[in-house]
Amino acid sequence: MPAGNRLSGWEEQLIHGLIALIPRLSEEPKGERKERQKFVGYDDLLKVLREPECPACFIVRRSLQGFLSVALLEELAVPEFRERLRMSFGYCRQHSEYVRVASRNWLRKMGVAIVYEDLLGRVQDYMKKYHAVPVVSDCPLCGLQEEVESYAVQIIADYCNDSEFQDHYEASSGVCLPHLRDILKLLNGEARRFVMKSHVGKLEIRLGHLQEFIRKHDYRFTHEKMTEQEAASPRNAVRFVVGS
Amino acid sequence: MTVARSHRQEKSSPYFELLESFKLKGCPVCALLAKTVQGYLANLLYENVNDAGVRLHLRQSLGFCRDHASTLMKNGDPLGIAIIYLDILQNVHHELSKENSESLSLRLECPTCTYRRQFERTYLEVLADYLHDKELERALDDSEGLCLDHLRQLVDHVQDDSAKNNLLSIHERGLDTTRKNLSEFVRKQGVRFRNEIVSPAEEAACQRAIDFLVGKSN
Repeated sequence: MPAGNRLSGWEEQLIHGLIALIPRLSEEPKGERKERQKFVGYDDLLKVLREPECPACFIVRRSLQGFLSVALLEELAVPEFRERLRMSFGYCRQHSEYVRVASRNWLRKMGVAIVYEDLLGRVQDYMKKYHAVPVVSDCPLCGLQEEVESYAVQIIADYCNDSEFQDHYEASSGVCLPHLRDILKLLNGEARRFVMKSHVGKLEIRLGHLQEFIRKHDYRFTHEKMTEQEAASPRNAVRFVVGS
Repeated sequence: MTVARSHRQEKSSPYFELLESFKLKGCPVCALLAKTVQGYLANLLYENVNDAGVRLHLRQSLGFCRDHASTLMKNGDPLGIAIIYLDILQNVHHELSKENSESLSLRLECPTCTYRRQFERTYLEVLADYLHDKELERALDDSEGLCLDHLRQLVDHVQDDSAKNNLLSIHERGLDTTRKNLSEFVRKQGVRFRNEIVSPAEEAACQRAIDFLVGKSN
């Protein structure tokens, strides 16, 4: 982890939870996973809500980055993970980006070099044996991401019935569209109506910024100063639609 | 004139694009597709943001997939992006106001993915057709080769066993080189070998290995 980006208590707990989960992930069929331990407490969630991005995306990103930074240093100590990685011929494209970033740190770069030398060897063996090319599939980080994501969505949905949490949620930038869809699937009644209404309000703010951004590009109004939020509105709109 | 026409003139434009692309670092097909996608997005933002058909498609696909949205944010004109996403968000706002969450799901594929796939197929078909071409074979041999996914697609496409074996052996040699560079990089991190200089190829071997396994995005 880069300096200033240190892991907080819940992140460390979640990462160790993920490491402990790996052997079970390879054994349990999808959809039959048992109830997981809760790692993110109410106060932690309120802190995450203060971040300027989707809280579910934030939890997923920080957990996977943290997990990977630990795994690249101690990969050999988690043989199940290493084996899963060998079986899948590496990470998928999305998660390889995490590895690229992690490998900028020289200590982790050594871990990356050891792991990838092994993976390329496996590809070579496969090509020699089958006269064919293997497919990178079933990325182990995708399995972990799915776990963390459903967990993050579930805790946000659970608290949506709580009036104090609703106040904090109202003040936040809310979840991205993919996570909004997931949360709405878990809710009904008053809590569902609250989330929808809250996002209608948040969308109105986003739309206002976008409209101002477009208007201020008109030659008649280019002298008007663009606010920071208006200038960032196209980027924020894209992030809202695809997640960050 | 038809009699005098050289073999070189009969080759299509994708063939020459590929030949040029082999001189670059990384998978030549990925490099060409990245260029194609950037051209498509730039054209869409410049010419088609107000096209009703394009708008309708983008509303139903909720814009672009994550990969192409990221390319759009890196290279796209912010005004064009704002116009497209204003329309998408207005639609989402309208549906949420009606308490309708059904229509928040994707109903169409990202248009850039569809466009990219057509070009990907063309480039791979051209590669398969010209695998026995001396110039292309030499270019492939001198290059860093294809990424794993494009290599697999090409191998699946090629019927001729000798061409397939040649393709695989070229890439096995490339893998040997990358593995040696990775091993050397690791060795030179050891206390006893710290004084040995890490070569640029060894330094870049991690990125090279990642690029080979997953290709370049876009």
